[in-house]
Amino acid sequence: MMRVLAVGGFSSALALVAALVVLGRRPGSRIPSLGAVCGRVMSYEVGPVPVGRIGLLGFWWWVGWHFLAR
Amino acid sequence: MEQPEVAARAPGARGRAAVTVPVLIVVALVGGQLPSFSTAASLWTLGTGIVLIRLGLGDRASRRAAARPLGPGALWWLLPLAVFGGFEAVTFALSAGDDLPTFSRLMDPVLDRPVARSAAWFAWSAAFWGLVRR
Repeated sequence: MMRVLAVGGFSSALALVAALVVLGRRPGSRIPSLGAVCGRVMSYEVGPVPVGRIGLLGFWWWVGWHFLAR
Repeated sequence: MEQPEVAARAPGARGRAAVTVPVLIVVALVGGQLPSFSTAASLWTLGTGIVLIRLGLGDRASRRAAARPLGPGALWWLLPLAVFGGFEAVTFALSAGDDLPTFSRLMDPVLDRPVARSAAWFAWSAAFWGLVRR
C-alpha cells in the first residue's frame, strides 16, 4: 500500500512536468517552457561568477552520476 | 507570446544536430553497456560530465538567445518540484526500503536493463547538451 503511494507520488510529479511542458509550448501561453526557466536560472550571476550556470550544470552532472554510474 | 528558444533557432541548427545526435547516441550506447557501480561506468560518467561542463562554462559551444525575464506563470514549475521533493524527502527520511521506496530505488530495476540504461543515458546527455547551449 505504501509502495503504491510512493509510485503514485513520483508519477504525479512526472505527469505534472509533462503537462507543464505541453502547456508551456502552446502559443500565447503564460507558462514559460522548461528551457526558458532553465535559461533564466543559468543567467544568474554573482559578480563575474556564473553561479546559476555552474549550479545547474553541476546538478545535472550529479543526476547522471547518481543514476547511471552508481 | 512566442517562446524565445523557438525564435532563436540558428540556420545551422540542422547541421549541428547531424553531428551532435550521432555523438550522443554513441555515448549513450557505450554508457548503457556499463554496469552500475563499475569503474568504467564511473569514468564514463565523469568524463562525459567534464567535457560537457567545460563546454558549458566556455565559449566554444554556440548558445541560444539570452534568457528573458519570466512572468508569474513560471511559478507553476515549483509545483512538480515541490511534489517530487516532498515524496523524495519523506521516502528518504523513513528509509523503509521497498515498502516506501525512494525514486532511485524505484529506478534501480529499470536501469539494470541495458536498453533502458542506454535510453536513460541518451536522455541525460541530450538534456545536458541542451543546458550547455543555454
